[in-house]
Amino acid sequence: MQGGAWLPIAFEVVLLVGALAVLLVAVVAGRDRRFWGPAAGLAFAGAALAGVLQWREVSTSGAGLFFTAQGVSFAKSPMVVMDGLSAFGAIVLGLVGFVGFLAAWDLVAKVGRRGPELVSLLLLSLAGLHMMMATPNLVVIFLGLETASISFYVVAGFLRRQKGSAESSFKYFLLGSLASALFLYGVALTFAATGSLTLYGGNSIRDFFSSTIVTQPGILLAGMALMLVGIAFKVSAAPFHQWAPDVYQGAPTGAVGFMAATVKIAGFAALARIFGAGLVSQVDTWTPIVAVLAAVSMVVGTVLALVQSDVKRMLAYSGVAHAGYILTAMTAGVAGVPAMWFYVSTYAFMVVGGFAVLSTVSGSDSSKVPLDDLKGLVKRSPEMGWLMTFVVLGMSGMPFFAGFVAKVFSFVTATAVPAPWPANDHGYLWLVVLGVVMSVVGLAFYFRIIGTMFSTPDDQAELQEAGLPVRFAVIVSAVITVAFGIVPWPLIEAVRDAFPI
Amino acid sequence: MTDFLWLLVALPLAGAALNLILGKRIGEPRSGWFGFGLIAISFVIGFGASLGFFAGTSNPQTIYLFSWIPAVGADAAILWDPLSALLTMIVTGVGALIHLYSIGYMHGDDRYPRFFAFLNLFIASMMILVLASNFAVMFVGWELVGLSSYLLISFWFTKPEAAAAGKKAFVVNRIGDWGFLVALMLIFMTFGTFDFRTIFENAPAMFGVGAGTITAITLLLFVGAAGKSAQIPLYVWLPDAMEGPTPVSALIHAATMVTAGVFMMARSAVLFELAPVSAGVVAVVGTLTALLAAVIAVAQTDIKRVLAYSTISQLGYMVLGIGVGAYAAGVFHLTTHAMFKALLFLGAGSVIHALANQQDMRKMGALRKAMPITFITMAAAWLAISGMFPFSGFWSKDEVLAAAFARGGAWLILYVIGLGVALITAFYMTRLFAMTFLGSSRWDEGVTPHESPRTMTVPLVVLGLGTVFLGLFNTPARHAFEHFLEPAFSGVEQVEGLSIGLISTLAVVAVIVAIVGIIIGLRRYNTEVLPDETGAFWRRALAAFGVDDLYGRFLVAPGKAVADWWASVVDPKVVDGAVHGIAKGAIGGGERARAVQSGQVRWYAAVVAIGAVALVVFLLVLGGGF
Amino acid sequence: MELSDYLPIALMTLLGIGFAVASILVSKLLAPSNPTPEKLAPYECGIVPLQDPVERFPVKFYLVAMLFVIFDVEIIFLFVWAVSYKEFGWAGLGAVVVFMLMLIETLAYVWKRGALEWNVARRQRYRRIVAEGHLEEAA
Repeated sequence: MQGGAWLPIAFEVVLLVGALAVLLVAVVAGRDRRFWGPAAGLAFAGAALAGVLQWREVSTSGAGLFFTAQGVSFAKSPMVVMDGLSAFGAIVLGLVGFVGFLAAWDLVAKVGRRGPELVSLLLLSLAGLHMMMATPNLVVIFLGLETASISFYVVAGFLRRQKGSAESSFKYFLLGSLASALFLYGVALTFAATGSLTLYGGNSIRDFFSSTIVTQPGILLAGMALMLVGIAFKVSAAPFHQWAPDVYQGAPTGAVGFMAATVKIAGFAALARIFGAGLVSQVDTWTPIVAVLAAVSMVVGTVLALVQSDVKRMLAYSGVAHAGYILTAMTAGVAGVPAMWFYVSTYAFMVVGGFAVLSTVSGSDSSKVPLDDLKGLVKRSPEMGWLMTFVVLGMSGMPFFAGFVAKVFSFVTATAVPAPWPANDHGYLWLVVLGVVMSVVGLAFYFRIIGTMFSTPDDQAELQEAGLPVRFAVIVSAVITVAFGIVPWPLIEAVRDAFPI
Repeated sequence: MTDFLWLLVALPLAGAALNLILGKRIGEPRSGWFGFGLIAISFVIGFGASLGFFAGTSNPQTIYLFSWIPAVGADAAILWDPLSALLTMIVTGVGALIHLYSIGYMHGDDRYPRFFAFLNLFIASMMILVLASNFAVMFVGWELVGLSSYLLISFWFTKPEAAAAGKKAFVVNRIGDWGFLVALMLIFMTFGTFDFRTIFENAPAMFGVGAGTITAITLLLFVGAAGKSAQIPLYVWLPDAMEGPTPVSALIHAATMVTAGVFMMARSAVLFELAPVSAGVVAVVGTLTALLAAVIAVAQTDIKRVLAYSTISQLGYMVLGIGVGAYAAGVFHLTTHAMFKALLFLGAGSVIHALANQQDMRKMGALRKAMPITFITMAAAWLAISGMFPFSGFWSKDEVLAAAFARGGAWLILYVIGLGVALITAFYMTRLFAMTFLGSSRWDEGVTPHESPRTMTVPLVVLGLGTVFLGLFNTPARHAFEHFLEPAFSGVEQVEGLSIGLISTLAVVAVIVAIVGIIIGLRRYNTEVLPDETGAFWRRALAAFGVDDLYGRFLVAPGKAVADWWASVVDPKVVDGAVHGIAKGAIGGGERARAVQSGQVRWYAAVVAIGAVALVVFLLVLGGGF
Repeated sequence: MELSDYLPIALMTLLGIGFAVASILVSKLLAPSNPTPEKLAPYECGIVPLQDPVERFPVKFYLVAMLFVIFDVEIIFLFVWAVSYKEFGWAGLGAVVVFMLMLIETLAYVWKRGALEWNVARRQRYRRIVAEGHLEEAA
């Protein structure tokens, strides 16, 4: 390690120090959240700042590989990479994490003395998620995945006295372990096929492909498929999505937004890293699979969302559909990374904002959020009602909202690069047509939510006013949803540089 | 200083956001002071950045902020030239005073912080409109101005009249916006960009004078301007908009928003130069609007409605100025009018406040003693709008009329009508002034008028000083104002000045006209008993000649019928039928698919495993693994 | 691709299964087996149990066991460092100290949270009774 080489791991270090500081403050100064809350907020903000610094460093001095272990038998094997992808991901994760943390503030109040634990779990999970996109080493990616997943298993079951919460945690744990195991198996098979665990650097997987003609790719293909399964599970792409509705519904509402948003960001970034950059030479092999996953996700997510009566489940299925739209962008290979970033970074805020509103409506520690809870929300609390309307419109992909730009960007990207299967010059046109149709069908349930919010309220009690942090989180999400719908260009220009090396 | 210009938009926007979110915590007087402070800072920034233009040392420049839709030449950039600098100073300067005034005026309102949030939002929208460097961003500001004025007019939305007035303003403005929007499309089709500089530099080379495309564009732009600047036939929303709080009337309907149309046309001066037909239409419509509104104003009894119609009338003068090609004169009148009309509205507000929300002039009178500051400042504004030498209104109105006179020929008719309007203006303003401050007191019982608090009188005094002295910046002997604006109208031929002798003659004529109007007014209304005003003319003029009724019968009613038909027949049967058909199919599929989601972990794990196997097999087949 | 390429996988699978089966079988076959009643008893010394030992176990034992495992694993890491601390130098010492500090802080936190308290519920009841002034009832 050279002096001054802290920047590439600054994001993780800040969050780790933050997590420990929160626990330490809680022990020393007392469990009142006013003591350790600011420390946690600072850690999230500091992480975002670290991302900004990385971004500046990358744009001035270029990307680089770091923490190369010397003298290890498989030669030089870098452990950390700092490039456009990881730096942009750090910014987005930091900001979404910060807003998600604010949205969870009421939940933190409700869990009382266990608050510091919840918050430090969130901090640790964020560090793990960023590790997934900031390393060229497949094993470290797996470690990051597990760090985040285990934290999330605990967060999902944080209200252990509630049946729903415990159930969701256990389901998440079992299925998540299965997916992790499959991912790890994929890593092992890839290692077996290429003799390397690292994507870049000396003796890397990319090296292997540039110097070797693979004549018998069976093991490699199986490895790729299994790694893809692991990632598809994390981003809740169909048919690996079933955990999502159950877990979203059971987990405490205040924290679902954080979990759902950040894991998607990291999952897609890891996809871009492993497949977009690492397996770039195999692009013609894996994009058809991604296209199939995208198609299945769009259809399954949209159609099943139509028949839900619980808003959390509805948003979970909508998340499945959105995973499909994002995967559509990735069918262009590494060229799809900008569209993926635009989509996932705006969508993450919508998710956080949407669940934050639900947590003010049904309580941050609630499990179920029946659609009726939203009845007449616009009248009961105009602020929350309108902001939720913006967020939902953003998800539905209405023009002048970020979701629309994201979808268009994604669709355009998918048709920009010639597709290998079925081979043609217009890319995955069939997928885009399907995506447009599903977007229209999806309007039905988004408008069902909006319609419910605008209906006349029953004699429901006045909505309890949410805490300032939660309101702030909702407002930020809505503002981002609207702002990048009207003025998308700055973000589009930024994501054009957010490439993996 | 120009580095900070983006703050002109950012500060009011931040103020709006903070007042909206934290308003309740900031509390009553503080949220007002907060809003005022931000606008005042904006004014200082705008003023500082304009110093270069005063000194004649800086040139117009475009300050790039970030790209928005670069493909159509629509970047978020600031075009900083004397015209936008001037409008910036008016909007933030008058705006700051009106914020200050509202701190006292809105005292005790339930939604006090929200009011300031809306005011700040309005200033921000106006700044976007004014500072835009291209038509697209200007349109964004244009629409935001419409939105925030809607919010402000119907601020007391529990009052049905206020809600209706807000709706009316919105709908009528939409008609104008439609024109603007079509004009924008035409502009983009013609020039391939929205950028002001590119368009204005290329237009004279691409088209000769009188080209059809440019005529169409300018006429459509005028439709847009007629909506915002309340010209015939779209002026009907403005009198109703007086249902809003009085500071809103002053800010929106006198000083800033209504001038947006005039500003937009002045900005597009190059295009209007190329379209003499459009310019003629603009001038005629402006003159007729000035005349019609002045006649209606004569018979109004509600003090704010008099001022509303007088605003329309004065806007007519500005539009006339644009039409005759005297852009600087039009903008100059815009500037002085912003001062004295804001003052009139705020003074009227002060009176209304003192008489416990009495707006009927027949129940006022003899307020001179009770409200000395309001009286003196209002007197200045009254003389200014009447065109009395040497108040500001005299100089600017005279400039416009002189320009019409200088064109000669048929334009002389417009000059004569304009002079006639000046007479009527002097008359009805004297009527307003005398009925309010002079004569005998006709107050309701139990009302004891009192002077308003300091936060309300300070703006009055500041505006009063502006009203008296602003005109001296641009006398026929010293065209400081026109020189100031010159860089903004480079490439536009200004009307040639007349000889000093002729100008002096015109000025004397104008002053005589004003004095005649004032004397008639004073003789008629400075009396113990008000004259009887129930004759046929008075009734018809009071009802604004039934234009609203006409619109209602021939435009609104058929429109509503079509909408009803659509809502009751087309929508449920045709549209819903199609939508429901698709939805039923999808939901049917969903119900069936739902069975898969049983909640059993075993089953989920099995599905994951099956999916994984399928993926592996698929990849092997595709990748030639077998 | 030829089937023979899968031979290593098949071999590994067979080997894995074979090892598991073999080790059970071998121990079954090789171990001397001459049971006596004493040997079959759960404990070879002490009191003969009167009922099945599948009692409910206090969760506190698991907690302590988990804490133990964490520190057990810590030793593994420390061992690697200790063997070659000279090569790692100051950077290595720093890394180990950071690692230790994290564990220590975690221990401090769980300690404060009461993870090492035995019989919390009973002590709380005792404290309450003391506070209410009915000490004699506690006995």
